[in-house]
Amino acid sequence: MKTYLVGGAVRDKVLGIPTEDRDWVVIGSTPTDMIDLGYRQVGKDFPVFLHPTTKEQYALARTEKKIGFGHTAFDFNVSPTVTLEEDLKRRDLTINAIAENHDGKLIDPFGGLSDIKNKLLKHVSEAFYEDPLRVLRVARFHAKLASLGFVISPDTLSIMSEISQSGELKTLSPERIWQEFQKSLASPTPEKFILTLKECGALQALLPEINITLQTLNSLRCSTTLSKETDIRYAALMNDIGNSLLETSKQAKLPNSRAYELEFQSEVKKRFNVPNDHASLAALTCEHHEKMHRLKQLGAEELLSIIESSDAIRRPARFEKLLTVCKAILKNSLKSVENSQINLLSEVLKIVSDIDVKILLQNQPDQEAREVVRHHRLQLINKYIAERSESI
Amino acid sequence: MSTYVVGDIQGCYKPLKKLLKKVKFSKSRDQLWCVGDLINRGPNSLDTLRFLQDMDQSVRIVLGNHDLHFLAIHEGCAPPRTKDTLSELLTAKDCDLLSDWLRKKSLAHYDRFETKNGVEKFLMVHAGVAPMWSVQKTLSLAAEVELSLQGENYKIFLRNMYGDQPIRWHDKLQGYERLRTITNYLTRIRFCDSLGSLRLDVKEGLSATPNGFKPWYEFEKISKSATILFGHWAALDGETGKPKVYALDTGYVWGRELTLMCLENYQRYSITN
Repeated sequence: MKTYLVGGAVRDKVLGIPTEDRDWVVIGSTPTDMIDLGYRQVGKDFPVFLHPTTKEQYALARTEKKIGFGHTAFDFNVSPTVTLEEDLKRRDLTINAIAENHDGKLIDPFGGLSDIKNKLLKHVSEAFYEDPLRVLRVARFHAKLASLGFVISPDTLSIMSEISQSGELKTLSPERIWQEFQKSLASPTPEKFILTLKECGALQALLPEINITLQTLNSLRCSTTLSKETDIRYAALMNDIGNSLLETSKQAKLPNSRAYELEFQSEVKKRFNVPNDHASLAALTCEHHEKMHRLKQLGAEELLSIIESSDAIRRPARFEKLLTVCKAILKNSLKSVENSQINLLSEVLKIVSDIDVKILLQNQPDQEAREVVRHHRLQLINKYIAERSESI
Repeated sequence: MSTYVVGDIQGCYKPLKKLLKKVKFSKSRDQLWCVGDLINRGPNSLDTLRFLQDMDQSVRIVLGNHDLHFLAIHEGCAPPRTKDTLSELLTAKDCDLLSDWLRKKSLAHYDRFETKNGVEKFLMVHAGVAPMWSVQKTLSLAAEVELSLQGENYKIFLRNMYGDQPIRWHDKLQGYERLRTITNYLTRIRFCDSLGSLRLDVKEGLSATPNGFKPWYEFEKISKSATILFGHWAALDGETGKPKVYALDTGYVWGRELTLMCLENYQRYSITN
């Protein structure tokens, strides 16, 4: 039995960038051998094992064959006779099909090293057709590596178009889609994920309601410079996508475009299995970002209502995220709004959160608690606004 | 007779006039080379274009990204942007005339003449070139864009000109992707890698150099045979640290200097904002 380091770990090492997972391939072994050696099998029907101490993934070498329509419709052949080259051949991109043995020697039967040098994302073989998820994976690698100068090979892009046109993307589970989507959002240029999906027709298959261009992805691009968190980037992207909703689908639906945007957001959430925290930040942004243009003109009532309706006092961290998304959106709006203006809301939140409700209510036992607190908060905001305008 | 090259003017007409006066420029005797971005961001784009057009015989101009942007707005092929300062020019009576004149200018200019170092060759572009381009190749690729700008379908080109894709040059590129890529190298490049992959999103100086990338002139092969003159990159402040590669944009419009250089003796003159 021989083991080789494969996939992303080898690729990232050659590229000189940090890597997340270290995956291994095992040649000449069987599931029984592995279990006898103390490996733990994960997943019933897939020959993948966790190392007894490092917990890194070890997969038995296998070949795959498509037997139907979709992402899971393939049969695989695991046997101790499957060679390293055969296993590498079924992988998606040449840069992911390099193996490293224990002496650090690289085994590269498909030209992955030269494609890294030439900064090309190129499919390994016809096996690329066998899994429609690969369309999303390549788009994700583009989002990860475009800032290093990587481009997608035209041949690979045309296979991606073929797969997108075949309707097979519909067989992908929302969970798998979100996995690729979220990893892309965490990468240096998430907009490349969306643009690549558009270029090969996958975006039209997944979200026919929108027509997005690089120019409409401004908020997403700005958000990547402001934060690494995927929920912030997702909320910024949904703002761009909301703006790119096709006029026809907008008009056919509700007259109120914000309501339609929210409805579309929940549709996206369903189709891509978007987690609640991401989706709720996006919805919150949709509701509030327009007011951020004119924060200076808002009175205490309106400022407090932003804080109340976004549940900011109970969830201050989420509120800070909302403000970051709004900064990304406003950075690109025609009226230039300084970040200091948005920071005003952070200040206001601090002021209204700092009050000690217990003491406040002790002094006024007869009145309704809610009203007392609210009144006191308004007074504090008014005072802050007055002081602020004096200092300017 | 002297040949002068001036950095990005960007509508700063008055300092241009002052500089020309300082060197006693004579339009019947001398030549003025402009590295592009004649207009926009500064206050007097209209005066600048009128002045240069009036002495057309004695100027050599390569187009910059702002010049192309003006052409696109004027032809209705792109919307104006908030930071643009082109409205006086766009509403002038002679705007059509100026625009047609500007549209016929080139994207790369080459010449050879006697300097204090003997006969020298010069290649002027607005921003830069791709790593693998020779002088010949640069001129012929620039000519492809020029033909398109001067041809019947120039509006289609102007509409398709915008965008950062494809990110690098390939001899097999075709159509408007090809023209856009040529234009991006000649008028927008700052950082690239050894393959020529562009990072058009980074607009700052060398301290912002992305990992794995370098200023384009670290890769170019042209200065072995010809001196390169370029503008576009104010953050360099006129320094490339490389012989025979001259950065002329010293950011007058951003509160710094306008630079003029005499090509016969490399003497620099400047006006501070």
